[in-house]
Amino acid sequence: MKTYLIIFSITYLFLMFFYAVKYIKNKNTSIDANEFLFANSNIGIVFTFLGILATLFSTFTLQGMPSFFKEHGVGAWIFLGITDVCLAGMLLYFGLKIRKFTRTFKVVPKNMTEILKAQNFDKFSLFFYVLCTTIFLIPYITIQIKGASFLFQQALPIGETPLFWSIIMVSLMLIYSSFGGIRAIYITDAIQGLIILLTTWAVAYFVIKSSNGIENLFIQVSQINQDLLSLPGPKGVLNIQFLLISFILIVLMPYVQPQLTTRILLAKSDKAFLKANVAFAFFVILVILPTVFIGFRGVLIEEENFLLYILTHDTPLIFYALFIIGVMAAAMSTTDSQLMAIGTEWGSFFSKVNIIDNKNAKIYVKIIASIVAIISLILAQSNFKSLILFSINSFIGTSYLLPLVYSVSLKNGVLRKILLTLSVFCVSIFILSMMKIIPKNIFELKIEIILYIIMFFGMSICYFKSNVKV
Amino acid sequence: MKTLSVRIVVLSILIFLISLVSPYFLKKTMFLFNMPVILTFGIICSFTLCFYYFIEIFIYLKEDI
Repeated sequence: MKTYLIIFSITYLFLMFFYAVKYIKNKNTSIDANEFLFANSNIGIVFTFLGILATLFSTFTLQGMPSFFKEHGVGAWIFLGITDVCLAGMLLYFGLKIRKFTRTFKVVPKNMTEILKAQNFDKFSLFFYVLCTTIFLIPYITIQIKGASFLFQQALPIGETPLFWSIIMVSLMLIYSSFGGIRAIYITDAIQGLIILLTTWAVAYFVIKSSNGIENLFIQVSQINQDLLSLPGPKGVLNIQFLLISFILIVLMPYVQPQLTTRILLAKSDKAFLKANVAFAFFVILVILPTVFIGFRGVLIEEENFLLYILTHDTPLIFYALFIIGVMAAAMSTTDSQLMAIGTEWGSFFSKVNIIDNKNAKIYVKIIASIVAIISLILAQSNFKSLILFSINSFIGTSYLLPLVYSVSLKNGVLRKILLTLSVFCVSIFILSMMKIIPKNIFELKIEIILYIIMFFGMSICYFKSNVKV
Repeated sequence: MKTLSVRIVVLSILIFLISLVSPYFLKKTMFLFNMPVILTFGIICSFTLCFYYFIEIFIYLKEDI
């Protein structure tokens, strides 16, 4: 297995660096900030959809979802299988609006901070937006590093902790991102998307074979615990409140996650964006479906680390190696796109002019991406059990930025201030509830639901009070 | 385009709500296409939504672009 792993690792690294170097050589002149950070907004259908797919699918999907199916049963499909397809619908709705909106500017902004700047938002609004996205995306980057390095450590142990593999992963990511910018990230995203699809289905195939067919697999699961075949699952986690919260936070991701907003704006045309969106919706199902079978196979295995058991006992070793490479590629592509997005948002924040006209933009972005990567690397060494539940808090936090993002479409200064206050209020209360200063449930309602009600109510009032809408 | 986007959002929310309440109507002991009925129904919902996006976008691109 080690031989396979080394061969695949070298091939993957070769492909990454080959494309990054080839790209730089093809450009006779030096790469300007617009090309480095935004690929001149000329990304086609295939790269747009694989880019969105790769930035969303990560260790969260490959390692987290099988565990989630194992622990909480079929309801996990509603949590991600249905919600992610709905996300494609929301991506389409928001994407077309924001693309149309940005075309009204003389210099088309390519990220949310640039849009806020172009709309003359004050420095505090910009700072709040960039700070919140950074704070809430760090945990998500952390789980990518932790998940991938943990698997590598199990396969090729070096030292007692996965620290060595974490450092290798982060260093590689920073090096190739620094070489080729966002285009290098798109290329690795594409490679990663294909590896994920291939390996998850291969593992699922062998899992079904080991269980003597799909029906047998589920019959055996029902004999162990029937609660896994319904909602809210054996532990009662997947109740209506949880599923509603997860639905809202996932479908709001195109609005509030900077790496997605940038990918929407970089598609070369509306037509390319629309086609990429439909492809994304289909691929979402194709990627999540095999994790159902892997997760339910895990129910039949008494081992705590069922994924390792499946990879070593049910599948040929070549797929074990490919799966590890798939997880590493997934983690790296998600992380690099987020680091690049955070770096670009901060770069825009610090630039007085538009970021593409700033000569120092690339340096800003690289320095900030490196700082955030190091913080995440340190956090990845701490102990937390559920990748999914840890990252959900990260998504919930960013979802409360919606009022601020929505205020971009309004010209009324008072309404903008109200919406900013609403975002600050929701984020503050959410953080206080995470710190257990405020109770997590009020009258049996989760605090997140209460905050969403307040947020949508406030936004509705502002919508009806305003005359200018995008 | 505006009605297209709104239709897509409304149908997405509707499908999610249907799948959310479905476990209260479907028996957990029932199997459909070799899988628990709640899971099969959820997968059908996801594919239905995908095909709906595909048809909407296909018609839109044929007519408007």
